[in-house]
Amino acid sequence: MRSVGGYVWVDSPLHRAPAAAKLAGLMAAAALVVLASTPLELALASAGVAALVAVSRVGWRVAARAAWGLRWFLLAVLLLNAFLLSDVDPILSLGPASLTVEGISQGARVVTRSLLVVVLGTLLTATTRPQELVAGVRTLLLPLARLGIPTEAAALAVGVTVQFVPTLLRESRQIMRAQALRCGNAAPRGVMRRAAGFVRLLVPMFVSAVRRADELSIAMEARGYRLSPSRESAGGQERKMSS
Amino acid sequence: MGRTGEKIVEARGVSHAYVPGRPTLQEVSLDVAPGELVAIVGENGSGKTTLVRHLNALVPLQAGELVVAGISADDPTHVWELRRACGMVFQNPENQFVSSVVGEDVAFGPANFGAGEKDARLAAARALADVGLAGFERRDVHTLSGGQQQRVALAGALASGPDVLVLDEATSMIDPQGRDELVRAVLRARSERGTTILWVTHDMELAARADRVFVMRAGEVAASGAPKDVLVDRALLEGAGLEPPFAVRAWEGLVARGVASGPAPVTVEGLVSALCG
Repeated sequence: MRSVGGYVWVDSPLHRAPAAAKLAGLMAAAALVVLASTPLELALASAGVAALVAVSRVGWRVAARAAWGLRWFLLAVLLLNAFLLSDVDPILSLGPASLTVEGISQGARVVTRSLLVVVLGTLLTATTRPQELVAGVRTLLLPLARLGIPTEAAALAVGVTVQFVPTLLRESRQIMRAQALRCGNAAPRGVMRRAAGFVRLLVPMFVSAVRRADELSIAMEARGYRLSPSRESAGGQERKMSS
Repeated sequence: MGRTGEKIVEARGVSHAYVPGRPTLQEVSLDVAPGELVAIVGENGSGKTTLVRHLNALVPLQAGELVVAGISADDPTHVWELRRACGMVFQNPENQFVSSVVGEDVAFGPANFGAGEKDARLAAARALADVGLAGFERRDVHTLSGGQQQRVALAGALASGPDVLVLDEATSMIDPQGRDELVRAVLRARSERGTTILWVTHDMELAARADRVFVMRAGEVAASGAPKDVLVDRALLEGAGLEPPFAVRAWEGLVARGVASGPAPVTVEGLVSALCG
């Protein structure tokens, strides 16, 4: 199974579905997940997401990758809710913090919702090529464009962002390898060391992203791009294209 | 827009300073004839990029006069006409793409200059065919080689039908095969479309194939002329942080050993001819 920039090259009904429909479906599903509050509703939502993962054929490991990356954040969310939400009928008291059933229940709800939304987002990028995603955004924005709202810049911003993802991912791997060659390690053992390792990665990545954005803006200007007036009224020139 | 005489680019006393008191360009004057292939060489920081970015109005004119395809660069109302008249290809192909789909990216320029969707698509298809990438419209740019990516960037510049094409160190990040493919595509654009080419480069073998060479040093034009006159002047080139092309260096070695004499050839083909008759 081949994976490029999040997209997984297999054939499935989800892969074949129109990107705009998948984007709209993601938004609707995310709204339903956020509204689900009882254990039964959350169980049904989880079953629905699991069914989508099975139908997508991208594999459980791929579907859970982004969620696994957030495990420490989600654990922190669970603990904060469990200890700080309430102080009624505490199971355990640690100074001002009280572990309560209500807190555990709320934390579990928030974590489950977050996990499901992250998996849904992963499924979207795993089953939709970047260019299809951009086309989907354009399609969804069409009604706004008909109302005279400038949507082209938003679609272009999404397109540019999406098309830079593989480049920045490759660059991050190169920086990590370059640091590893000099005995640096972006993912050492220990939370503090790991945090310091990621700062060492983030700084050159940030500098590189700004440099690339600068070069891209110059290249776009050179090809006649301007935010205002609109692309469609670029000056009334009469010269024939590509003559 | 009428052209002034036989020149498509006319610069007179162009000066520029990003920081007041520290000029990047000083009184640069140059003329380029329509259809000419001009190489601009010089070490990093010599002002090459600043000079050519004036042609496309990416750098505003501070002092002097500059006219490109009959359009004055000091008139801010003509910025988009200037950008249409002068296409640019930059160093890193990946940093020039606005879409991951080849056809969409190449059609970006024509769409900005007012072409309808169908015309922009046709212009893109023609430009891609001209650079040897016919049928690549639906390909993902990230699946292409560096040379192919740079040819997509070239097609993106050509699709708007520029009179002048500026390549700013466009071969420095691609492999030799990609470089040769790009050079062939540029030369084809020149012969078939009559496009004037200004090629900023450190590649002296490429400069040797130009009609004229401008050597930049510390923001000034240190010398200009035919490659056979400029690229054999070792003192001039070393003063500008450059070295002569391979054929000239080989010829100097042969002259030092007494097995050759006369003016040095600047290309490998010229060297072979001089040695084999």
